[in-house]
Amino acid sequence: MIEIIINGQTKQLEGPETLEHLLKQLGYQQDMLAVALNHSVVPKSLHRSTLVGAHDHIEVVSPMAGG
Amino acid sequence: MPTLEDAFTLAGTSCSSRLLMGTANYPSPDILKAALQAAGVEIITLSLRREAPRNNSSHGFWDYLRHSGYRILPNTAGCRSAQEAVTTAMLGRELFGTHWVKLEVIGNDRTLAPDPFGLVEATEQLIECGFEVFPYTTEDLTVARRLVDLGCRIIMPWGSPIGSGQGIMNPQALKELRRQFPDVTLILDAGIGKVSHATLAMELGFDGVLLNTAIAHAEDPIGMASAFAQGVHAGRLAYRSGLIEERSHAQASTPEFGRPFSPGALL
Repeated sequence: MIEIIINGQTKQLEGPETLEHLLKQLGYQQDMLAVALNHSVVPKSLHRSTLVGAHDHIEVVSPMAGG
Repeated sequence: MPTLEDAFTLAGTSCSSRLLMGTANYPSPDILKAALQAAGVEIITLSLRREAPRNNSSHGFWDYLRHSGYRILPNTAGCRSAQEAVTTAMLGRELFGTHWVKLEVIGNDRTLAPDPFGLVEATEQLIECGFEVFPYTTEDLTVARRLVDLGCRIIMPWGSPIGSGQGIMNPQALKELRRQFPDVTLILDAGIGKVSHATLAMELGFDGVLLNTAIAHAEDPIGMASAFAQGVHAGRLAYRSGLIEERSHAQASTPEFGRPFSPGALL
């Protein structure tokens, strides 16, 4: 088992997996998302080929009102 | 509204309004839409926040805005470090498809005052990555000089703490910013509460004003949006028309010569 942090929450995974699979598994369905892995933005086109591993930090964000 | 003789160019883009608006804390999306229309703005700010998984709620708000024709200026609101702000800016570019960013690096939780060191650090990194940085800063001249030297074409000094409604705490300092940076676009951002605050900013020579709370929290946000648009326009017109200088003494506007009962004869 490995541990990652996604949107500030710790999650256990069986092992490394692709970002695309992880997001799908967690139920992210919106197309208006942006993702950063360890402070680097991962374009949508690379989600399928980007692996998430132990101790990785992921931020998944969407548009929000702001000042 | 800007005329051909007083065209407003922001980051190389022609703009139809010198009023920029935030989109947060409106009573409803419909009121937000109506307020934006009433103000006649072209540029609006948005933020990024964590998306919850399995969020099946509609994103009607975003769907409306992205097809509305407004120019989006993403912010890095709430970021407490240069690293957070840079990453957030990158996420904003990915999400909104713009290289514009309103850069906020906050240094104090109570006042939400900018962290000048983090701001400069983040600005340097983002400009190297091709961003057009709109830095939220104070009236500090040294920080402004560093930001301009790094390549900022726009500076966004606060009037007073975000959401405080206090207006302009230090008009002389803002006047000095205008004097020392005549070719930099100055947009007053933060702390505006009344229309007169926005008008004052324009009378000081600022190029535009960005505000959110003063409209969103007004009793009638739609009416207030229209009022602010007119206030910004009036302030700009006043500035271009040449304001009189303040005096420490009185100077009568009615000529003394020929006043009845005055000493001396008029024959």
